[in-house]
Amino acid sequence: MIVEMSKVQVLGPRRLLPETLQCLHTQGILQLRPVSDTPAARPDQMAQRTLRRAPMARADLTKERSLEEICRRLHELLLILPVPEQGIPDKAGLPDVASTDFLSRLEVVEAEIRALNDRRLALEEERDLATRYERILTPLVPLLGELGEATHVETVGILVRRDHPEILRLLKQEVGRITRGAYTMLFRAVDKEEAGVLLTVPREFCRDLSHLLFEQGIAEIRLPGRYASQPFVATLLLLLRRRRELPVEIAAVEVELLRVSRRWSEPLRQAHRMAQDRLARLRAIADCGETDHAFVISGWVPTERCKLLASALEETLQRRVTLLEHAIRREEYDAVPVVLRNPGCVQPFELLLSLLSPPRYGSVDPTPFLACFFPLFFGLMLGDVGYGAIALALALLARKREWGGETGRKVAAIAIASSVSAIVFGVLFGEVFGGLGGLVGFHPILFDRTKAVLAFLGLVLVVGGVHVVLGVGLALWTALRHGEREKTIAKLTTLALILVACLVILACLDYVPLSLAKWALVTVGPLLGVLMTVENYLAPLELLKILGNVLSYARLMALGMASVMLAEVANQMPGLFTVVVGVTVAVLLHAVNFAMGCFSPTIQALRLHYVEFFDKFYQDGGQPYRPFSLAS
Amino acid sequence: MERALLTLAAALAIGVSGLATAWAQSRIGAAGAGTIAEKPDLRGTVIVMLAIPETMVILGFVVAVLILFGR
Repeated sequence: MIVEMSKVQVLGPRRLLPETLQCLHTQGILQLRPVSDTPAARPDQMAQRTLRRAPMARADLTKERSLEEICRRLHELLLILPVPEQGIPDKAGLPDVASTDFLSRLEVVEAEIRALNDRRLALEEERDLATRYERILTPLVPLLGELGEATHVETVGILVRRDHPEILRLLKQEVGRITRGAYTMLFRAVDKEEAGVLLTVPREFCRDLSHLLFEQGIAEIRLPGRYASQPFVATLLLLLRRRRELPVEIAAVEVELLRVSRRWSEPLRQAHRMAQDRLARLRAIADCGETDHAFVISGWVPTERCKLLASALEETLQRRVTLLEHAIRREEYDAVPVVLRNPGCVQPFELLLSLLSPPRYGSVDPTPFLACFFPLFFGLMLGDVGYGAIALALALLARKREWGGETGRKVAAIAIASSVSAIVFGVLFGEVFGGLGGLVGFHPILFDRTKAVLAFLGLVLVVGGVHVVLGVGLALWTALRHGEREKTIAKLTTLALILVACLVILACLDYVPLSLAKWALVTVGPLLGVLMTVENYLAPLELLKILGNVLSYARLMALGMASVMLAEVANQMPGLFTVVVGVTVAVLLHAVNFAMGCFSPTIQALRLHYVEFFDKFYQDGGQPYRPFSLAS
Repeated sequence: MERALLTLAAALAIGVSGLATAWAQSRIGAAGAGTIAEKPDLRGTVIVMLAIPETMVILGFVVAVLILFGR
């Protein structure tokens, strides 16, 4: 259900505005409403002249900028620090964010953390480089012995593609021409695509060789700055040595960072929250109104908590401020924040509603209906004891292991309800992994889905009809509650026409006397006339849409049949192949069917709610409730 | 012969409506993926939009079932 809200105004002497905001912030109940949006300020021009938006003092603006900067710095530091393990943290503390020595203390801590982080980043970069060059250079190590120890030569490493062997031939020709044959070229594959080449040439030809490689677009192995100044062989050895040393050095820095995190994480986090709270209070001033002597804070509060807020204000500010509660007018409904409250077993289904925008204040919260019909539709589609039991086991495991946090807990609760429904319908349809239940004397109680196709179709259409009529009924109830006469008549007429259609169908199926249907048909003309009068001449088309909506529930039967047929195909596999192959294929097919059986029914059940059911009564566009509350 | 014609009619009822649904969903799906990339909060609307053309194949399926079993 949608919790009833109250529109409130807090009034008091202007000098008490900061204290009042602090009290409201601590209570965390009121959602602020900017004073310009307050309808009371608009119609009365006199009030508009005297009541103005509270301006921010120059000192407050400076404080705001400073707090923003502090928040940014603290956020960055918290991102750098690793999450410390659970346990008793080392004792450390930071002064209040508003105090003068906070910034100087923060600078010291920041310098320590940033120095460690910079060192870690540099080491990681060097490790990545060394890893990259190791891949290229290691295959060339065996070639170094063949080069000899000549000191007047230079060794250059290059990479060439292996799928173009003519490159090497051309390179040999050109290098031979430049050096007049005074060179050594050694070749070795690096991987499937590239080969490494070591070229040793006299020092005086080095420059010409580099020009040649550049002109031909051949990649010379360029080493990082700190290695480049050394001879190629020394560089290679250094790289290999560093490759072994770097992980140890990185681990040491990470241990140090963890030590710092144990000491500073919590104080920094507290300071961050404190800074955020102060910033929020400063910014809230802009939402307040003031006259020459008084302030006004407007907002929304859940009605049941109004008294609590009033007594908190009274106690904290010794009756120097007043809380006024006003009735909410219908035209204000669009701006009223929405709080949903449902029983514990229904609450997880609010997650399914969160895919749409929240319901508008004053309309119907469809969560209880989702909680009833979503598992019902899922069970009708999956309807198998075996698949349901696996889904239930997985859902219970997910809940026990707390996978996915709060959202995971809600998903697990929905999955438990849906899988229990699948097990119940599995018992009714006599299905355990398709027809396997029959082998142990498990028989359908309701009907066999593979044979009673029309009965299954009839069942899902009846369920669809009930669902759609419930939607129209909820629209009628909303119209009645809001005193909308024309809408009430239109919805009543629609329900009457649906009743006539039901009577005609039942008469055709010999469930009711034909004469009753004839009498009912007589009323169709007048009812259509009423409908067109209160709405418009296109209103009867809505009835055709309702018929289409009901037929759409046939998807419950379609997916249910597809699921059981695929299970039957899987069960026939052992008879078609050898036992091992057949059972393997059957298990795989059942696994595919289970995965599809969990995914498709979820989407289809959601669609039936969003399109067929909500279309009748759901009014979206509600504002989520965001109270002015502390981050700490 | 009559049985063959009935089966063909049922196959056409579901096959043609299936093709139509697939074509519509391919268009809506592509546009929906782009929409979610730009505005993730519209995913609920995209799911609804994507599921709307399925009514065609469902109705085709109902017609096919009635052709095959509805006598």
